[in-house]
Amino acid sequence: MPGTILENLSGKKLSILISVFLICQLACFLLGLIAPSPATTQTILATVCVDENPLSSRSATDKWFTRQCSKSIQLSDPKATIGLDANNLVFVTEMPLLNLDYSRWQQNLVGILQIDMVYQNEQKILNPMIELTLDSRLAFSDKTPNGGKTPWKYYSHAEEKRYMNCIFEERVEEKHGYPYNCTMVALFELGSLFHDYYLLNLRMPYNYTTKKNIDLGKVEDVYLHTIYMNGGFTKVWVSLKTVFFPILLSIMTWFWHRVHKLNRKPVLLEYMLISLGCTLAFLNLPIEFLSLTFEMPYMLLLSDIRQGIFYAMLLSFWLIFAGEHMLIQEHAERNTLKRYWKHLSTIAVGCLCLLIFDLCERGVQLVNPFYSIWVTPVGTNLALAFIILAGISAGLYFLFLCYMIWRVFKNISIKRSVLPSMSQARRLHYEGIIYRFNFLMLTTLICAAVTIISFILSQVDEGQDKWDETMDLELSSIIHTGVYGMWNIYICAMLILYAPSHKQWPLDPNCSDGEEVEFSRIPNESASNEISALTSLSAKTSID
Amino acid sequence: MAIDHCQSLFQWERWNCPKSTFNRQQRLISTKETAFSKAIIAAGIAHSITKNCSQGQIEGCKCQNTDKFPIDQQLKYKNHQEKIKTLSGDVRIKKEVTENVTKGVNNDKNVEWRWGGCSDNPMFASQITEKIIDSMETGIDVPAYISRHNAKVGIKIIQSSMRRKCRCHGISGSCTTQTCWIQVAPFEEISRKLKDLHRKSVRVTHSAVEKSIIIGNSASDVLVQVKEIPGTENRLIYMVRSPDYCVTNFTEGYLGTKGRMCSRNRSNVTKMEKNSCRNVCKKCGHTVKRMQKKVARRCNCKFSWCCEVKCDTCHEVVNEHFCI
Repeated sequence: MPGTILENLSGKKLSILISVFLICQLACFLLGLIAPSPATTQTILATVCVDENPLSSRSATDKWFTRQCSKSIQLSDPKATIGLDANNLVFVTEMPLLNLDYSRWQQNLVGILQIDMVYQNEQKILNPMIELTLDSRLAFSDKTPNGGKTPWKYYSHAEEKRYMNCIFEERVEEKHGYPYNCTMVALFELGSLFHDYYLLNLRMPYNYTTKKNIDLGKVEDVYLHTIYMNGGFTKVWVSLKTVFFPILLSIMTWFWHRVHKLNRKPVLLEYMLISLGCTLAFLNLPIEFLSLTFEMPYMLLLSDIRQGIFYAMLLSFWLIFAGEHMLIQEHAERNTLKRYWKHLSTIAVGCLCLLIFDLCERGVQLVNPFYSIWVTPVGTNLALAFIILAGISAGLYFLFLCYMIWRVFKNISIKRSVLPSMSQARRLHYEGIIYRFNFLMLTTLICAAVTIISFILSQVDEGQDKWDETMDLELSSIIHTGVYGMWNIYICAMLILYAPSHKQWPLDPNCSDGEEVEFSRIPNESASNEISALTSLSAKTSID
Repeated sequence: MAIDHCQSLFQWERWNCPKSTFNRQQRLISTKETAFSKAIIAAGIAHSITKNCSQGQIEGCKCQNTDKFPIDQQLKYKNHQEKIKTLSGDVRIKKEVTENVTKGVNNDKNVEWRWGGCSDNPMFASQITEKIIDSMETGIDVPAYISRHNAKVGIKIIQSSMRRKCRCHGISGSCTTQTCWIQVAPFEEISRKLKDLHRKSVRVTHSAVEKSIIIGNSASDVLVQVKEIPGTENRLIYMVRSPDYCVTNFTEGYLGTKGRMCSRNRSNVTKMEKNSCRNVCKKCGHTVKRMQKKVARRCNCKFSWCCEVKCDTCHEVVNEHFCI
């Protein structure tokens, strides 16, 4: 890729361009300031209703218990449960609480169950691992124009197993009535929040012979923690995407146009850049707007896939970029992907593993929102295997990448030492490559460092135990918009700066007139449109 | 709820948390025990408001910013106040239908909720409780100060025992995005913590309290500024040493220990229970009378969810001890 804009741009123009990028970056961070945090929770205490005819309601899909059910009880009151058995109890949660209703901007909903279990005097301390059988049904309802609600309609039903880990503090002196400390269990995940109201009817059937809920102790309360995206965050997020999408598209067409103006076929790195742009454009495509009018439960899966493709492309780009700047003159096939099959296969394997894992978890959730791969031992092993495999290939990838970068730097230092003895054309050529490489290394390192630091920051921020009321700043949303904007700007910058330069065309605004160019190239050389650095090198030597 | 917990905690002590302590109409002298009961009432109110909020029984538990306190919430909180005045002990806040909620306010809420969500229930409950306590104890005299302080300690216990729970839900469920919320600890835990505080409570003098209440005059109203007495932060405070709970004192509302039950169980009981006969009876100058009783007790129980405890019935003779 001889002669890119980056090398031919004057220092002044480069600094202007970089400050424009920095201003855009700042704007992205500031945009995060007005956005609320990405997601919020709402904790809902289940109302315990009594189902007088558990047998008949087992198969019925139109019988729903709401918060205003005819008979509700308090489980902490031992008298209330006399004569009832587990099949009579229905835990009812209406989502969202109170007179609110969900908006489609809130995108998705995660439900997590917390079961408060207490110790009974007559009881042994339970073994810590409790297998739960949860019969859960979801229904939905919508607002009617006159302010009412449509009747509850069946959405989904499943009987799933979950494991709950409960610890009892033995130090406690008066044990009776003291709660166990139990882990929460993930219950469901809805990929789209299409309707206004949702209703969960949860049963915990007891059956000794089929070993259903036999380990369960005395339950006093059941809470459902619901996590949903914040509408405000989605709005800010989608507008960020909507702004970036056309900008990126125009930069891409400009870039591709430039490449095609050359009298040669595009080189590998140019193909990589344009496909990186394509994956980012796919990620930026604001299809979230469609979810406002259509029910799209596959949105979660789709956004996972979109992000996955983008990251895979970015990783491959770095690898190939390092490879193409190796400064070793090899032979003609250096421009093909084949040379990198070993390195790229680590990315492919890793991504494929994650994709299969994601399809197993979120793909099945399209059919059954209560499904979780982590429940059965086989599923857990499978999921772990995929994740470990993905981890191994990620490790391998970084080994390859580090090795390549190390080799590039080694070559650079060798070439540097012999630079003064070279002819000017040759020297400029090598300096150009070194400069290009160092520039990308630097920006990539900065971007990666910012991403990692902000990720750690958000973890620290979320991980602190104390609840600070005065904390108004939404760090996590700033980090989300900031980092997202940063990678967008990074790729836009790559597309602009690594586009081939045509200094001889004075019409082009992005080309400097050459008063203070960083590397003044020999006119002959820039005019000749070589395919590879090798031929360009031979051309130069022949000029000399 | 507060009474039940208090009574089960103090079952084997001389002061057994009589119901009269929880009667608001009565002005009690500031002992350790009244301090404790003030704190546990406040904690109980905050706890049940939280619970009712998350069951959707109270309006206005949501979209609560610390700086603004919407009008309809204030109206509601006045309603709670009425309830609390009429119900001296157990605070049960039932769903209240207030006509004052205009549709406009509700719509605003919905917009706000859609934008940024609101999940602050536990914090909201303790703020509300603090306001309720403030309005219940409006006096600027010393006992009012003490009871306000102790109630606030109760609320602080609730706040400090809140737990933070997080859940990751980023790409493929990874932790690139996680959301956290706070959760109130079970009341059992809170009441036990308060009992520890009861043991460690600090005695303050009348003058120290007076010093900490600074009264200033403004044009319209009497301004009262209250500052903390040094060393009493997060501690229960009292002024008067606990009276002798052995003897009956109707005016102060306790019945003495005569007729109380004590326990001589040796195995598998707390220290307090083990020494209960000595503490409750003998040291008060009562004698312990053993009464044998034949009881049918449940034994070899097997608990099966939800409501059934399958037990054998064992007939055994138990000794019950009473102070006479």
